[in-house]
Amino acid sequence: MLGRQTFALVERSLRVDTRLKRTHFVRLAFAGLILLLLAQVQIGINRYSTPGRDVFENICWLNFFLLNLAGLSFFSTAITEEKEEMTLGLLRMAGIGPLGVLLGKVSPRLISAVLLLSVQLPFTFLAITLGGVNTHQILAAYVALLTFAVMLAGLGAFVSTICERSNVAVSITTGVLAALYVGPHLVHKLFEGLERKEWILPETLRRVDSMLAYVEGSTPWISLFSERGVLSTNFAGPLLGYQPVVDLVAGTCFLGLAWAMFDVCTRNEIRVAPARGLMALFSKRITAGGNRVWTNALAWKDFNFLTGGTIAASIKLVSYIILMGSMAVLIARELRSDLKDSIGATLMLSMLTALLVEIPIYLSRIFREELRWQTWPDLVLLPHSIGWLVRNKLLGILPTFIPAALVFLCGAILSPGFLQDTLRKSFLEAQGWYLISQYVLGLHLVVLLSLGVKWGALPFGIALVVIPNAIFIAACGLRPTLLQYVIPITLAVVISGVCQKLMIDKLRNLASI
Amino acid sequence: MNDRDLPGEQSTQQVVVQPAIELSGVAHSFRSFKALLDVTFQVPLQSLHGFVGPNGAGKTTVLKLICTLLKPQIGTIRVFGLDVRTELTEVRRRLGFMPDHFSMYRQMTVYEYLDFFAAAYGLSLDQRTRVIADTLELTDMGARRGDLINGLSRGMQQRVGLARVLVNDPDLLLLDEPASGLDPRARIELMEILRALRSMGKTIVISSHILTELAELCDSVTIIDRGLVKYCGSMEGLLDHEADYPTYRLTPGQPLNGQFDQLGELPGVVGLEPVEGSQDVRIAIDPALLDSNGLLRAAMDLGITIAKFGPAQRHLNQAFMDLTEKGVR
Repeated sequence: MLGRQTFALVERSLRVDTRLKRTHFVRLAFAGLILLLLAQVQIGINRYSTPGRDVFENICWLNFFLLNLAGLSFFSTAITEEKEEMTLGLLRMAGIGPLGVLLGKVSPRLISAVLLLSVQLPFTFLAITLGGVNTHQILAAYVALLTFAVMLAGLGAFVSTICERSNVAVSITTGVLAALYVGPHLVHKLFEGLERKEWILPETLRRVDSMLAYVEGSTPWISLFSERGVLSTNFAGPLLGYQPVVDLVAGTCFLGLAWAMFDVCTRNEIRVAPARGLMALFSKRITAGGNRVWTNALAWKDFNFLTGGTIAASIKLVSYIILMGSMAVLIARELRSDLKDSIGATLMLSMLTALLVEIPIYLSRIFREELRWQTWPDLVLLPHSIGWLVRNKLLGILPTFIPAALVFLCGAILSPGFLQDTLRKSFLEAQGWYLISQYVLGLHLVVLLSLGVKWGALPFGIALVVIPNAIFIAACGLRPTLLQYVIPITLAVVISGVCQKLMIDKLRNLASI
Repeated sequence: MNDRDLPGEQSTQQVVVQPAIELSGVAHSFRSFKALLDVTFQVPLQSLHGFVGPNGAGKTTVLKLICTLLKPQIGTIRVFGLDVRTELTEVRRRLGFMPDHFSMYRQMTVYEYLDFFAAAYGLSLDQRTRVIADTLELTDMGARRGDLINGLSRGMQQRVGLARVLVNDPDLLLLDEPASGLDPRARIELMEILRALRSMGKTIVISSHILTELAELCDSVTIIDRGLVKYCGSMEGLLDHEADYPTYRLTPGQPLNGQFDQLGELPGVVGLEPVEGSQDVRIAIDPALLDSNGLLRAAMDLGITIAKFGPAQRHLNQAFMDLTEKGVR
């Protein structure tokens, strides 16, 4: 059953990966980053009570964050990218069975992740010399992270087997991970509310909580970083505790499910076309001459086909109103004073968060879709400059932010004082400029990366901003001085400018390929 | 290579009044790979011009340079007298480029797709309505205007692609391998559309790696190989165009047996090959050593009964093979 052909793809992928200089550079950079963290703690050792544990905890957070990013991009597109390029059928015709394809596509990615973790191990042992952490903890932490990687790889294999498109697979994986991290907390809050209303017994709540603890405990979030986790003082748990075992089993089960469903889900090779989505509802009206393309054709296209058009915006608006309305009711029940201000602030903060999340999502797709379907040269051939194309494409995605902006406006009307305060903090204090500059830098990096990588521009763009900033915060503490803020702000402005130049050049070059 | 080196140069000079496209000493490299070494040719105004070459000859690179997707590194390119380097926007207004791959917004309906490009070119609503109706009629896609492009056959997608490049009413059409992947009926129909477009006064450049496909359609042709122009001129000129050695076709009265080898051994005979499907032979001679009378006399001396003798007109494919080199770069 597990013949030579099963591992042919694995062997090939590993060969290719080994020959790539990029692979070795990334590992080298990672080892360098760890040494940097260690050196930084070593220099300011007096500020830490348990320097070794602190630095190791930072390394673990970094690994955990990157593994999640890999789960969202690297693992969850393993099979869908073959489907989209219509090469899955060719692999099958070459005699590679479902397991061969799955192992061939998933295991090299998993091995890359494992090697990235393994290369750190010798360096992280240096943390022991700084004090606060022991060998057993380091080994247990790496076991937790490695098994989590196995779970993510299995999940990715399963999701990318059942999905036709990579973006859907990425969305589902995001949903699963979000449910794993936030779900237990939300369910607990829900049952707590029910118990407070005396609709359920306290015993039921305790039972639900104990069940939720099993779900929560299946990720390194709890197994590593909780009060009784691997990184806590005097940890003496087993190397293969609850989380590693659950993750190994879950990963294997997901892989097994993917194997079982592979033939059913990939039997018909369908030519994947760009999604029409909610625009499908308009097609008859347009052809009947009712709706026409706007004078700004590019904005029309991106608004309708990238963001989902008027229907998607309406759905979003209704959802926000329902969600925010419910939140306002909950706040009204909890609070007796400052009700208007609290509701206003909640609306504004929630919508600001929604906007901050939505903007990079659309920006990561704005050019990617054109490149993916090879339509970018058609746009470049229009008698307009690249800058004009970029501006008008950006105009196209703006209307999709109207729902969030409207709800934000409602919040501002309810609580003008909070808005004033926020604006003052954002624009009159260095911290506000720091945050804005880093966010803008992130947007630039996301767009630039989306011109070069197939998938994962968004998470990698975020990682490129988060990691240096984490180091900056670790080095300067939570309250850096005004002078210390100048460095990241200046760097962000300069790098954003460079990114813009690179983007324009890249967009010009990509049109001729 | 300059104009003087080009075979067929005379005929080009006779036809050209004001060229639609003018390339002069164009060279282009992709890193260390030299895609174009020295490309010089002209495309007459309102002509249907074939642009032919084997795979990897540099056809697509030349088309991309003309349509401004690539910036010329060396040499000059003028489209209707406009420099593609400095008058890029105006050049883009006046041309339509259909690439060899189907890069379409396949999630749109045919009408949306055409309307989108018409609007992107800045046409008013009335103009758009009129132009789209015209292009749909020309390409015979009116009945499928409400269909999603993704659901159309390859031939129909090709028609939509052609309709798209016509929405801004360009004077010059650059079509990169427009017939590739089409069935014979779709090819013939496409050729008919192109003839109709020529009769409307448009200059059309069609690239292909199959010369015979363009033989009936094109007024003139440019053959490119390994980044160099091998021929530029009329289609007839290509057939008459001499190879390195003059070639004659001999029709014997009776089958040649041992005489075939003896013919090949004659001093001055540099090439000898049987003509497929007949008893005829094609003989190439070195004019310095042997002329046509000498060849005829020598053949008679060998005891060959000659039924017919004259200059050999080559088949297009033969001409193409003579002009292009074997193998790939």
